[in-house]
Amino acid sequence: MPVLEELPPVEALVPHRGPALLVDRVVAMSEDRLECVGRIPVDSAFADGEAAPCFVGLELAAQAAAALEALRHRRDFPNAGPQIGYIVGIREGRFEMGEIPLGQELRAQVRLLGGASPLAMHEVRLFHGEIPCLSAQVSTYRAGRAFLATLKDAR
Amino acid sequence: MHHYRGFTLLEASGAAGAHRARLRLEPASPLFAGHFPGHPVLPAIAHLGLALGGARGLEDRELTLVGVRGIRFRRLVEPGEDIEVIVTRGLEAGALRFELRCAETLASSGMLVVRADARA
Repeated sequence: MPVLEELPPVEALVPHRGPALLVDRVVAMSEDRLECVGRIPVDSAFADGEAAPCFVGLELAAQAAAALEALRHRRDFPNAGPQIGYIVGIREGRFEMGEIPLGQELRAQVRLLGGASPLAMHEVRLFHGEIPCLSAQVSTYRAGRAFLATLKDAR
Repeated sequence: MHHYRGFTLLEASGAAGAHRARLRLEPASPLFAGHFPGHPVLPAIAHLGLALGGARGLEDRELTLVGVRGIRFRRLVEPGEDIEVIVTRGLEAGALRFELRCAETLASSGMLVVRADARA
């Protein structure tokens, strides 16, 4: 996978902010794969002492998938801002660790399995050093602001 | 025993292999911080956390989530909403089925795979 030297900041790819933003930076990307590093922040809402339950790492992996989708979307729409990518399904997930230490660097790898925009399915993996944390197949829906307004109006 | 971190537990009951709880998602909950600015919604992993809380209520002990299967997120959950958590035992040992409902609507569902926590 080629290492990317010039990429937009992660804030331009995903809408998460503050303690909800788990991806630090994208480090490599190809047509259908992306690798990034991130962490579960010490002020995470899911923190339990000095760690968080392993399944919280799914959020980081899903943000990596959202970053891949955003970068693919920007090829066609170069000025597109970050769009909200909702997790709509997890086909199967395995959590290899009981918990993940807070604030320590994690590495997420995602691979696009298929889908039709705005729906996409990715295989995601998360590592702490060389130790596997989790793996899953995650489906996401990339929603624009207009879609969100529609949801609110429908209530 | 309060299994639901970050929520206000309104009521809980357990009978015949099922656990039900009703919770309030406080608007000021830190779960919404930065997720997302201008359009706060409950993160998907918080659904899993709620389901795990229900599983702990059902089994009345600490559990670790080691897997999930067939999870569907069907509805966005917003600040101030009440959530009903329903967890029942699956056919396999360690497999528990959950549903989260908001305003009579299914918000998420699926299967949890858990193991008893060694620290319990």
